[in-house]
Amino acid sequence: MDDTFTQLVDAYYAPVYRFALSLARNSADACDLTQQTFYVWATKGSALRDGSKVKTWLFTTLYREFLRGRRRGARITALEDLPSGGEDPPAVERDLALNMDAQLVVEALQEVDEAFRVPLTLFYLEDLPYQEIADLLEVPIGTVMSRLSRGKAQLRAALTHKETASKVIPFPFSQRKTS
Amino acid sequence: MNTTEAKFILQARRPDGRDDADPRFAEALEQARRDPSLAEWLAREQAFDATVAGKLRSVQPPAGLREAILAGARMSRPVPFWRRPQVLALAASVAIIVGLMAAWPVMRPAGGVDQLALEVMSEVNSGAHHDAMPQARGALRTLLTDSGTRLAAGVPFDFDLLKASGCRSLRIGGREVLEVCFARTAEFHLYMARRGDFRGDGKPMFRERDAQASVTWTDARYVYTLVTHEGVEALQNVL
Repeated sequence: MDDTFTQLVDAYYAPVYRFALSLARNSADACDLTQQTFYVWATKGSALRDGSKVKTWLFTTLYREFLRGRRRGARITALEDLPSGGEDPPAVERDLALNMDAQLVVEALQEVDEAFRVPLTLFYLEDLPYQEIADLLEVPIGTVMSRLSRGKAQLRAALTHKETASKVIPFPFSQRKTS
Repeated sequence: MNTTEAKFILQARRPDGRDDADPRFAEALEQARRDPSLAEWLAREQAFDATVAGKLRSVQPPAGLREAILAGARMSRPVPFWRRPQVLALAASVAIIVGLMAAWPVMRPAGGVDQLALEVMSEVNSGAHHDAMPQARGALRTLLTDSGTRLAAGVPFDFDLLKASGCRSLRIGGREVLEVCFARTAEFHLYMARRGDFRGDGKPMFRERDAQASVTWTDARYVYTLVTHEGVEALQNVL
């Protein structure tokens, strides 16, 4: 394997994995998706002539592989049917996420509807310009922002739910004496 | 731009500030600078986003993923057509066939000295032989025509040199055989082949057929068959 491919893997496999993790919802599937993405690169990546688009190419390929891997006939969510994030979502204190374990934050992100989760994850990874996120999703930039808004609202709700759940202390059942 | 519109845009502003130069964000940011409550909302939003982004970035891929990617890609990378198994197999087959063809003279099972004797006796009887009638020349002729020379120990001349000097060459069982004719009290036809080309135990073996007599023997390097029409006794005198 040539050095160029190794350098490419070293540069991008971590963010690609994070994106995959947000889509696949478990580490094993995320690893598969990540590997599949680099496999596609190894077989077809040489066709990409613009070296500055490698990151976008990888994210786009991963997303397409994710979509392709899903069973046909899976539920396709109509965006207009999804709950609105609201025009002015409630402010959430930074500490809510700050005090959480990264794994919990990822789990909360994974609970966001997929249509919103993809742009939301790309937003947080800060790896792609908006236009490239829009291109990846094949929607206008305005739609990306709209989905981002709704995704954030769902993320806040999921974080709040997780924080509440973590505060629930199981009731200690009293031990009965048996005679 | 009202506050709701400004929030809609600003919630998409990434914490690292990379979007600030974008005109779509610039106007909303300007409004936030003028509106303290909007600025406060933006600060909270940005802090939240920075925290989530930081958490997400802190997630490390499982150990071994990098190596698995590299190994998997190495196994899966497109194989040039000339390295595909079918092509390699075909090339190997062709190489084997060509190799076998080239090596066939060496690999072919050696014939027996009986075959050599019978074939050269037929050769001597044939018209082709009479047309050729090669005669020994030079030192070889001197050696062979000398009545004192005994051939049981073989002929002290190299096979390839004899061939190069103009000895007639024929193929028997695919093996090269040289022919030299000479005369003493009778006419003799000496045939010489490489020892590995014909199996035999090395002892002189006499044979008579159709008024012809032959004797076949070997030395360390060659197999010889001497043919004459003068009978076995004439052969014994030369041997």
